[in-house]
Parts: sequence; C-alpha cells; structure tokens
Amino acid sequence: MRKPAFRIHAKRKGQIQMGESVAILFIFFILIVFGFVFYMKILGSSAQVEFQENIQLQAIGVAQRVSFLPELQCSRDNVRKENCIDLFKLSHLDELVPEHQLHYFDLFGFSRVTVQQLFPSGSDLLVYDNVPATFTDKLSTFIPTSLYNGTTGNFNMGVLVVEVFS
Amino acid sequence: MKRGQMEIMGLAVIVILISVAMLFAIRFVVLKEPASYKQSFTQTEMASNMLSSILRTTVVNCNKMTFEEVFQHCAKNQGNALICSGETTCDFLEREVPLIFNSTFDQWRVKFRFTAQTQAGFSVLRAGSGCPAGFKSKPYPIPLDTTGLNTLILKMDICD
Repeated sequence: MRKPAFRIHAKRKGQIQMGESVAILFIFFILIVFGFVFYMKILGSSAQVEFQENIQLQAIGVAQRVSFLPELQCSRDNVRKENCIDLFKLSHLDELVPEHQLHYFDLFGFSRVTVQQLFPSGSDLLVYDNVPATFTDKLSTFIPTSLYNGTTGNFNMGVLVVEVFS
Repeated sequence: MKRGQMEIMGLAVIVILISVAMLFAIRFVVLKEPASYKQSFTQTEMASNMLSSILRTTVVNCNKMTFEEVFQHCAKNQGNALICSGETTCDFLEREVPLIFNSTFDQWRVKFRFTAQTQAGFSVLRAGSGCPAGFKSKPYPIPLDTTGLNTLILKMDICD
C-alpha cells in the first residue's frame, strides 16, 4: 500500500530541519572551540608577560639587596658610604655565607653575585653562588661600584655582577 | 529591504564588531611587551654609580690623587703641568678613562656619551658615540675655584 504524499513531504521537512539544527550546533561548537583556544592563547601570553616582569623585579630586588648589604658596605664611625664595598669585609664573606645559608637564600634566592675589580685590574671575587641545576632564564645586572681597601686607604673601581636564574 | 537581507546585515555588523574586538585584544594583550623595569633601573643606577665610583677611585701612579682631583687638575691647568709619572693629567685621563669604559659599557653593549667640559668651554674629555634616541643623564659639577664661577661639568648619558 502506498503512503500518502503529504506524509512523505512532512517527513522530509522534519529531516531537513533536524539537519539544520545539527549544522548550527556543529558551527556553534566550532566557534566555542575557537573562542576557547583564543582565550587560552591570550591567557598564556599575558602570563608570559607577567612572568618576565616578575623575573625583572626579582633581579632588581636582588641587585638592590646586594648593593645595600651591611656585610659588604663601607662605613666609617657607623656612617655608611653609598655605592662602596669594603674589600676587607668582602674577603671574609665566604666564611659567613655557608654558615647562614638559609638567611642568604631568603635574600638572594637562585643567583650568583660576583665583584670584578676593574681599576687597577684585579681578580673576580665571589659573594654568593647558588645556581640551580636547571634554569630557563638568566638576567644579569651590572652595578659599577667603589672597592675600598682599608689597609692602603685607596678606593678601586669595580663592578658588582648580579645574575638571577629562573 | 526584505527580512532576510536585514538579518544578513545584522550578522555582518556583529562579525565586524567581533573582528574589531579581537584585533584590539591581539594588539593590547597578545602583542604586549613586558614592561622594562630592569632597563630603566639599570640605566639610572649605571649613570650615577659609574660617575661616582670613577671619581672616587684612587690613581696609584698619580701622587695618590683621586680621579676627581685629576679631572680638576686637568681642567685648571688645561693640560700643561706634568704630574702623573711623566705625563699630564689630561693625557692620563685620555688614556685611562676610555679603558674603563671599554671594559664596562662596551662589554655590556651599552651605548653612552661622556663629556667633561668647563663652563669656560675647555673640553677635558669626550667619550662614547652618543644617543640617537632618548637617554638617562647624570650631571656632576666639580668646582675649580673658590669663587664658584668656574666649574667643570661631567655628564654621563646612558642611551635607551
């Protein structure tokens, strides 16, 4: 027995509408996926920028702490001298740092601090050394400084090199 | 206008608005450069610390004078008096100061300009290539006599 024509027509119309709904849903989900990927990209990018800024601030912080470290600063009659490192204090810091490792780790974290004598030319002196086994980034800061020799009373010219690892 | 055309126009407007928003997001969020805190800190510190530490440094083979006194002597005598083991203070500065800059700024690839000039116009020393764009500057005046009318002005510019 043959089905009536209006029934066949209604069935086809229903199928087409169903197909339309499926296509709309498909496009909708594709758009959602695109939006999500785009959002994640933006999030990742801004996180990277924030990370870079934090490393920079960390490097500045370590450089500032080293510059104003009482264990290194020159002083006379309890008055400290700006931008000056006492060579006598510096030569004894390597005894102090291993004894108070935790304290210095709180101050400098994963970094290496060295003092280079430039005028008159001399050797490099290590202040602090804690380099992680693996690191992805290293920021170096150079701070010109005076090096005071208490024995001769002379001031030499040097550079404080602060390398921060992350 | 037919209803279908109106709908298409509406869709087009929405697509344009979304595209503009995405462009803004890409411009200000994705392509955002990290703020250069370190660069500005380093420039400021470098200019002032370099000048103060050079001037404080003792010159061993120059009657234990500091660089500040050597600059003063050169500016006062304008390169006539011999004082640094057979050479004039100006010759000594011409030789030694660029060496310090070579082992610091040139090694760190930092562009700079250093000038030392009296108010009367006598140029004691010039070093560095200069800054095509902006720079952080640190001037340091050294009085040459008690009247205060003649001053040597040292200027250190660290380029951006």
